[in-house]
Amino acid sequence: MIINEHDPRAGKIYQVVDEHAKVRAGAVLPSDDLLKQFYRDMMRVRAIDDKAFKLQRQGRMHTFPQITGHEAIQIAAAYAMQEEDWLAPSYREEALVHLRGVPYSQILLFWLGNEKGSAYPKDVNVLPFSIPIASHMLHAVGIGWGAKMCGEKIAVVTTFGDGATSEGEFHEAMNFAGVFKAPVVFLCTNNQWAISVCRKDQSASKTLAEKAFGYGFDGICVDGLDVVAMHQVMQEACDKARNGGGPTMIEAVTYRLCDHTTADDASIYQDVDERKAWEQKDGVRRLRKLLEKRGLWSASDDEALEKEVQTFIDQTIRELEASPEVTPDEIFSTTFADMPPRLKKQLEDVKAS
Amino acid sequence: MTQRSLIQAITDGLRVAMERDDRVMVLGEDVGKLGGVFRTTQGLQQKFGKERAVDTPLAEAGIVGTAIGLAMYGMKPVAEIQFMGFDFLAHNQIMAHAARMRNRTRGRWTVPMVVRMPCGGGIHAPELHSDSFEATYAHIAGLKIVMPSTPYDAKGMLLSAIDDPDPVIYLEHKRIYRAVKGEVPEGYYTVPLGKGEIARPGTDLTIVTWGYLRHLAVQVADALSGQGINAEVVDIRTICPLDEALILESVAKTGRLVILHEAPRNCGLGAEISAIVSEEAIFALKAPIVRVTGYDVTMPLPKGENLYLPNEKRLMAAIQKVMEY
Amino acid sequence: MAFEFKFPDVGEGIVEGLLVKWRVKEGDTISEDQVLAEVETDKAIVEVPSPKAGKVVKLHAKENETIKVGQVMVTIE
Repeated sequence: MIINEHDPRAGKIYQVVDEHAKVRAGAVLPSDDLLKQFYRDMMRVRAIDDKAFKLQRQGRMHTFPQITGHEAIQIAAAYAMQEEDWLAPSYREEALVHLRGVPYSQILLFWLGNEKGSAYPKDVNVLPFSIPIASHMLHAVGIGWGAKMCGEKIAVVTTFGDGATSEGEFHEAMNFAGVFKAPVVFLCTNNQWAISVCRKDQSASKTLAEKAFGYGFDGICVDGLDVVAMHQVMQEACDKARNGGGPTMIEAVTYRLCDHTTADDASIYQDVDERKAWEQKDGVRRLRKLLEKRGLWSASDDEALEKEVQTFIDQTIRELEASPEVTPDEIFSTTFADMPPRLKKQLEDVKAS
Repeated sequence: MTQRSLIQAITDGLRVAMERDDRVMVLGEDVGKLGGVFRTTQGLQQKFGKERAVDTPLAEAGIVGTAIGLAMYGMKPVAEIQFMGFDFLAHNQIMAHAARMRNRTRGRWTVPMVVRMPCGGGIHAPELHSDSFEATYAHIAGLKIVMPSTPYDAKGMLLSAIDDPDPVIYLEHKRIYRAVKGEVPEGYYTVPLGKGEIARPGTDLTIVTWGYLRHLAVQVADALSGQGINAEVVDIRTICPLDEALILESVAKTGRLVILHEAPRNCGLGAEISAIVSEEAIFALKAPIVRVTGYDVTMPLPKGENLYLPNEKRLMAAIQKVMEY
Repeated sequence: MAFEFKFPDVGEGIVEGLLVKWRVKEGDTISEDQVLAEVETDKAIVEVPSPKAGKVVKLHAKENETIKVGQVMVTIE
């Protein structure tokens, strides 16, 4: 097993494909088709993310968090999950939530501030983006606990950042999961930054993954820019959860190659050289190199992908910008199951004014 | 005197307090190197060092809980909660501990800390970044709550809050962070807590409000003067303890009261003000009291904000209603 | 038809910015998302991209001038 063979306390970071796209000897890679699919998805989500950023600068989008540097983690997690699994995401998880079945236009609609963006398809077990930090991790534990009581073999994935490990509710979630052996995968994206506070100022712990041992379960550090390593470890942790093995914490080590949100300016606090060094390790480029090395990618693939990406962007933006304005009913209707008389009166007031 | 925005006035107030007393320190998420997500603490770490302008780990209960301990030990912490919506994580510390420490130790220990937090909507910020929960604090005995609406008051009241022997929740309405500028004196001065201000004198009706809405109320009142309606705008400035005398005095003069706040209506501060006026001055009233408030729904996301937030039209309608009497 | 591009709130609650540098000039043919200008707000220096492709008809501000959110920056045809 990968997880219990890579103790983060011994300084191990699990990696399969290094930054030069060299594959570790003896490693088993996913199928060629899956590798290519990872790449297409990465390129697609990176492109829409970039487009959304430009929309914000044009006044066509409100504040949202970009995902540059997080693509490999989110795509790997999505492909490791099965249909009946649940996801309790933090906010910087657009690609993961999208690949779990939520149209990207809807995700952007939420960030644009339209309530319609919160109406996820009903067959998708994805909780809303948690805006408060770490709070939602407890919900994941509760869901997993419930599934266990019902005898259902599912994995619940909850995602959070390095900063979240400082919150009290992180501790509570990890502890409950350990005590109740909940089928939860704690996926921590350590992107080195909680807005402007760097990883070493966040916790005096050498790694974040090693905290898991204090709660009685395994933790592992994984190269978060290596989609293959991430996919293997996520699959193993999800299988373990589904088969009664309890929780796992995965620390996906990466770097936030973007601002915290469109309202931020990372150049104030990120070191230019440090960031450049991480850009060299980029997960998307790395996978591209791997595909080329293995003869899996040609110029015609590029052409097809370019078209696919453009179609995806055009369609997403079209859907986004065609969405009707928010109505007073939308603001009032989901407060309670039945609208109390007082709210009905207030709704009339809004409609009249 | 220098023209400063509300943000610049707060930064200046923090700087003055830190220069005057080396026990004053600011702590919170991103308040140091970045200077705060709104740049309210910009330059403080450069000037006073990492130990007095502290980037803490990401933990609201941690920030407020340690600020309580720091204050009890004699430091003068000014904690920042990045957005009011994230203060729920620190409510236990504020309500169960900061508010009660004086009482629990029979006056031996007190918590002279300030917790600053941006609040309010109107800048198209994401979920939980635009709420107005000021009344929740007012329900807890032992907390002072202020929301200045001009740069002059922002600095003067911040300096009073830092001097104050009790915990002060210092609320900053984001909509006027940069949009409102005004004269701010250099150096140290204070504006007392617990005192409201007549933002615009008038004779026909009283509008009681605070925060951003003070500016809307004055604008509407000015517009109405052409129609022969002379409205008085009372900016309470302090949510708790409330300047009841000022409100009663104004209502005694005008006989009509409109209460304007952004927070939800149910158990909002408007309800308290309305009750006080009913109890103390009902015979001065010529018309029923009218509240213009946010609705009893979850604060909408940005695209729906304008349906929720009190606006000129709703205020005008309320004024017309009380003027019918 | 002429399209008037107004300076948007590029942060959260930004009310104005300093036009640091125009990256296009009048008469230029531009593509969608091409950077029009660099603007410095009190939070950051940001690049403002064009929402439309077309021809730059008029730049409504000079470099080192303050522009208000909502003010017309560029007319594009």
